[in-house]
Amino acid sequence: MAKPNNKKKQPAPVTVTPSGTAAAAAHDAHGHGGHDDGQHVGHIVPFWILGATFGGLVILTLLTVALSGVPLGRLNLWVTLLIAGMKASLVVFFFMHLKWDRPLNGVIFLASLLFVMLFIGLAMTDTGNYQPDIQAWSSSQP
Amino acid sequence: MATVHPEVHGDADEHGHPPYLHHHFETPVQQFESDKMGMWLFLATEILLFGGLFCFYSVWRHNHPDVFEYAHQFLNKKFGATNTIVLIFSSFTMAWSIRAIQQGKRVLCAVLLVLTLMCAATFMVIKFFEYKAKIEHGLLWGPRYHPHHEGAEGEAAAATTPGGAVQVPMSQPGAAAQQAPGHDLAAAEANKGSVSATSVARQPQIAESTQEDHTSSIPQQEKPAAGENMGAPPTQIDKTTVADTTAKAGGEAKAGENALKTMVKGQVTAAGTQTPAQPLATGSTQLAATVGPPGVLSEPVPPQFTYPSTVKVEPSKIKPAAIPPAGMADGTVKESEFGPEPKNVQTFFAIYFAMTGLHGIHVLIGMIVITIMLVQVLRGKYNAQYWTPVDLTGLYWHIVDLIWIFLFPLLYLIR
Repeated sequence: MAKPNNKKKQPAPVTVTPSGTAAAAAHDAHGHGGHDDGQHVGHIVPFWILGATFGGLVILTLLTVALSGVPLGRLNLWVTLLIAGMKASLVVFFFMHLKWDRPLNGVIFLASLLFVMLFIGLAMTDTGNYQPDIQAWSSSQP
Repeated sequence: MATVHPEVHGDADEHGHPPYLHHHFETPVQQFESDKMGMWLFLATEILLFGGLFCFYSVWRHNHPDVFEYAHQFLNKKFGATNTIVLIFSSFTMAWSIRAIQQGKRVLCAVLLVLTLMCAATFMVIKFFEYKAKIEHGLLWGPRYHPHHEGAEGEAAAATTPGGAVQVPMSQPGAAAQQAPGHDLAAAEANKGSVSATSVARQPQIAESTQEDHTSSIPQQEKPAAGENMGAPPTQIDKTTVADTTAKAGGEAKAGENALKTMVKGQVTAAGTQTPAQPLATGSTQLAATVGPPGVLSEPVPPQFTYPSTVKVEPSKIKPAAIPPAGMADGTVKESEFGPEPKNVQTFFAIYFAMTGLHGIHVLIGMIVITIMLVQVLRGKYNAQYWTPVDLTGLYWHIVDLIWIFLFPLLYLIR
């Protein structure tokens, strides 16, 4: 749901319809943003948010590159994934507007992630379960 | 797609139906939200598509940590990081261009789309050079993996030895020891000063097998005559052909007979970079011919692969099979500037090419779609009231960026 709380709802080229106000009042009930007359769609992301997102992504990229040189053992993988996850969140929420989108889009996105994690998780569980067999076989090899 | 008229601007819709609004939607908002949801559904399938490859990656990395630790060093972090920044910047310009068109700034939008395209092109160019270096070094997938390492500079300093990737068609009958390519290469490397003279003792030995003599021909990789041959005459051959044992004697390069068949499925390489001092090579390469009686696969002596105590790497949990299928590890231990090579490194490159390749295809598709958007923006098809296609293109572009955000650290930054 569009949140009407962002300061300038950019009355962007509010050229539109003569019937603007009336329609807006009517459609407000749907909660599609304050000035909605059924023609103004989407949400304009303030420029500073775009810039800040870009900056954040660059910083996180440099961070992950720097951390790759630090030996943390197995932790390296998880730190790397954590940073990648943060970057992904920035992209999804701000660049991809999910923050202001209908929740259903977020549900679709999360569902896909969930299924990928299920897929990989089950595969890894399987891999893990075979480790004893693998060890046994490996040690039986000359 | 809505039939859009450039002159939409509100004046046309006194009855509330702008031309870009399909008749089966009640309002532009409804149309927009539907379009967007459809796009998200598509993006979900994209994530699932890449999910399969990430699964491939996860299982392999879990079972063969050493392969990943070793092989990722051949990827150039600087190229990878640069590409990451380039893609992030292109995502930024893409998002900005949507903001521009939402505000009705068509020219700004077009400029930003062009910038996005240029970033995408930069990404692909860098990718091209990365792939080129891989190909030149024989760092490919499966049976095509035949690395020839140079100095310790890594791929960035791609000093390639032409002809390194000698691959002779395997179907020709009548084998003969084919030494020449190996000699040439070894000599070339020695000349570069990258190897000590003793490396001559370890010239690539080319495996061969004659189809006419073997009912089953076994692909063999040339084996470096490492450790045990240290003091041996340079021309010693470890490889044996069952039927043609005499051909190997002395290992005289029968340069003239090069044209003759043999299936040389090996790399003419790695050997050149081995240093005699490496303790590891010793005893780990028993290369003595592994070909049994004709038609029978003899049991090769599986070499014991051990890391020097100085190297801390989690070993593979699955050892290579005693008789490797074509394209899998043979029994030798090779080395590169990054130390001893684990088995089955080629699978890392299979994963690398599959994942970055599929991603690269997405970048190319994205470039095509963005170009279409650019043309339509320039034609005035979109304006402050209707810009949904640009927005959806942006979503696609961001998901491409998103995938790379994960690919980069997982492939390039393993350690």
